[in-house]
Amino acid sequence: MRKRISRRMAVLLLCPLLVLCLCSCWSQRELNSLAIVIGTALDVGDQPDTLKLTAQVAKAADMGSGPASQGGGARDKAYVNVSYTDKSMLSAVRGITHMQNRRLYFPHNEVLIFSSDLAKADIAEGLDAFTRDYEGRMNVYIMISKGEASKILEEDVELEKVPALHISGMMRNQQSNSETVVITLRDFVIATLSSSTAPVAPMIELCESGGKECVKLEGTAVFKQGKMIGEFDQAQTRGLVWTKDKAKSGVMTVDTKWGQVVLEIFHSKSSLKPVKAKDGTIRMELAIDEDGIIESNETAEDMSTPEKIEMLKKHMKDMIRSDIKSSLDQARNLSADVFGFGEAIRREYPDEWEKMKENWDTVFPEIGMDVQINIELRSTSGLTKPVVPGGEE
Amino acid sequence: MHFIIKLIRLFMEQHKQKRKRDERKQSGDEGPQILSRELKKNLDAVKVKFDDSSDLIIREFSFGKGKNKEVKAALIFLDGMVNMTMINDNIIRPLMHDIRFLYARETSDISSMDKIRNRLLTVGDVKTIYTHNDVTEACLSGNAVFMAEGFCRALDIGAKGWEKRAVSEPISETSIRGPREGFTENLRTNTSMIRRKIKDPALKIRAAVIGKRTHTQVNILYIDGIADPDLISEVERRLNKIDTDGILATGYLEQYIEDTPFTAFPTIWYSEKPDAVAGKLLEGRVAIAVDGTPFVMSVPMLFIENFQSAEDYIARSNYATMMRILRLIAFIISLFAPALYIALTTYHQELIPTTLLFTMAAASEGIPFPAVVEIGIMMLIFEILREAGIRMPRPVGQTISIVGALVMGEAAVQAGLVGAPVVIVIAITAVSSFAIPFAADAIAILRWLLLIMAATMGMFGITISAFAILMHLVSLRSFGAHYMAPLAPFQTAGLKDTVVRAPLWAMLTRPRAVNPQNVKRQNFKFPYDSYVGSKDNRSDKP
Repeated sequence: MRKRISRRMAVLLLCPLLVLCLCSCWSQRELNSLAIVIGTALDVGDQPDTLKLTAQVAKAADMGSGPASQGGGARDKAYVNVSYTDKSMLSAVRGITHMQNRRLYFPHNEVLIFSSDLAKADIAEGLDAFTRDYEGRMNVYIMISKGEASKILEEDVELEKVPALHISGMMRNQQSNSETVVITLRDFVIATLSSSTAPVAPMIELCESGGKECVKLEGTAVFKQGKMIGEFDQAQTRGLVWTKDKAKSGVMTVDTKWGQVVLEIFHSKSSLKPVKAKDGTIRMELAIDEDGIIESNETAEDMSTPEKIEMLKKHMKDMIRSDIKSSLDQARNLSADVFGFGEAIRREYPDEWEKMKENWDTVFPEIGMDVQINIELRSTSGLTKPVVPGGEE
Repeated sequence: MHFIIKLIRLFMEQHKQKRKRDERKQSGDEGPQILSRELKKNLDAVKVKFDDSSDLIIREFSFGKGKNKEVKAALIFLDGMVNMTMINDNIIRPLMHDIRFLYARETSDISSMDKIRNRLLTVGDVKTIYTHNDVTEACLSGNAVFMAEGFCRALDIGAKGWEKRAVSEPISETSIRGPREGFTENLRTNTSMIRRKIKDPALKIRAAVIGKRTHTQVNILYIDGIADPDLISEVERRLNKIDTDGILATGYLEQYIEDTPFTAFPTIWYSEKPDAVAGKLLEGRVAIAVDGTPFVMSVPMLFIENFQSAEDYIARSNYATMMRILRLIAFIISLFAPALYIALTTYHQELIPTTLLFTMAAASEGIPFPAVVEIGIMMLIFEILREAGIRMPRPVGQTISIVGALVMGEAAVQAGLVGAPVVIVIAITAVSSFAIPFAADAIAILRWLLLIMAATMGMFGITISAFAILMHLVSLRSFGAHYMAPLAPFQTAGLKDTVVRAPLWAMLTRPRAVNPQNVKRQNFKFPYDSYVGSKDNRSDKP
């Protein structure tokens, strides 16, 4: 009896010990041994076939919440930018340990900026490393910088303490203007995996305002086979956003003969669908349903009359149509299927797609697109007549 | 072969019996010693037994008519255990003074003890006893023993009366709307308080005496017709098995009769409030009251009773439900908070929201210890403070808590020995554990286990320890009842008194886990129906 009990006790003691062998404490690390990366920039290195990794590491003590930051006086920057140039992305990450006592910790990385030089050469390596490594997150925002990517992370931030947090916050708010393609690593990688769709990423550049360096989001970079092949300007980006059903909010300034009227995009839905004509050619049909309201009226006219509303709707339609057209033209120039025509055709007409996909690059610019726009101006907001009346009355 | 074994057994049996006989001889317990007719012999025996203990009082006197008809008698009692007024007025006075009126009417002599008992003593509880052991027992339990020359029997006169604490508000369980009275150290007072709540002859009180030297009175209370007879006999069986020389409090008894001695969780419920115990009895449970403690136990206990309080049934059901949920949250916080903190800050930093991570990282900047050590030290300090606060005299205890909590907590953070988040986590843990006083002991132990597991294995460690705890809980039994009932095994009707405390009129059954003889508590009647009926009456009357 006693023997049995002691054996049972031994088993009971062994079980937790065996479990300990299964994992041990290999991933244990203290908070104050981490260099928390919140932004990453990748540039072309100064040596051939190298790349420069710049990691923006937050200085937790200066982030403004700990007791250490309450000292007042001249405050240090709340971040450090650490750069290292090496042959590959991951060797650069490891290389930083030659310069820093803490290991880079990527799960809280919020932005990933590629310089356009690097993007034009090859974006695949950085993408692969960030996607394959389990530490980084797939919802990190991807951006292409016009100049050097590491410079973007050195902007003078005012409202935030760290440029990377400023940029990621900005990206989260981009849907309110519908003029930027917001894309995360996950979406980008899905697009690169598709055989026809050309991935896109927003472009970011340094600018100057009031003697301070600031950043600005403008335009879109277009990729093909892992290389950046061209850009969309702001209007073309707007057209792209409309086509991809990403325009959810934003304003449009309409020039009428009396002056400017600002319309707000309240709600919109666009659907892209391939249709086969009788002669067998495939055209794309884009139907946009949009609700808008009059956001502000800078003229002295009463814009609430049906005729004026019709007039405004027509202006708005024309603007959207011209954006989409210029966007389509640019895509045809680059022969880059940024809209996902190929995917839409593959879903709707798989047989035709089989024939097309071999020489999609030449077929794509030939595909026509009809744009149907339906606009409802639902409201004139809080006012019907302008604040300063006048005009025809 | 068999023959040899049989022989050995026989030999061992005989040896055992011999040893038993020897033991009995040594303890001087050789059957009952009958009282003698000679008073002096009897008194000497008592004196020898008590070895002239200073609190033993033997009042010798004589009574009866005439010089030669006078009878020598003695009253034996222990000083401080008896009510002196009663001794004087109801025992000695009738015997020495009032006896004259008896003789005035009757010519007969004092011929029997029964006559004294029936005609003279104006005391409620009088028994005739025959042995020396009975005499000692009566004295020790606070009774007075009356002996007289020429009688081979004595009278055990109930004259108990010792100093006792008055009924007061219980310290361990305060109540806002409920009754304020709490049990005292006196067993009879305690049972009477329950009896006053349940005025039903079906409330049975069975007595037992446990403890070879303390002879502690233990009462088993149950309601006949509700409580499971098997449960009652099981309680009695376990109590009879106790072989100890002393039971001084309920906690002593608890350790002897609980199912799983080494579990962290309590499997026997106790309370200081008569209303709470009465509630348990009505649910079909069996209560055990021990003389000398203001706590009454009740079995079987279910896990969910850790989260129930007598106040729950007094408050309205929606608020009571909220309190139940709060207590469950407090349980989870106080069990898991330190472990979760460790797991998150040392293994899973990616799970912490970015901004919060910066706050926590800033706090841990420059801290000399690893997070586990930090938390461990603070938990240790908290446990020491709690212990010190309870054991010290009340004014000192308050000073300790101020010095400990305010000065040390603040100073430790200021000095950079521990981070502020650690202090916050420990404070939340401590406060939460006070919200569930019953399970607090269990949590205090398991918290360390979880902490170690979290420090070595992160969230994985927490998960496996949580599973281990859950498996343990499910395997626990309390007097035949599944500890996790009505959750496992699942009993739908029982859920009305778990996370949700259903309105009293909707709780139609007693907890099935307790296995009551009569499950049905009441018929369903929605209170609104009676309201509709009375509305007409109201409108008729001006």
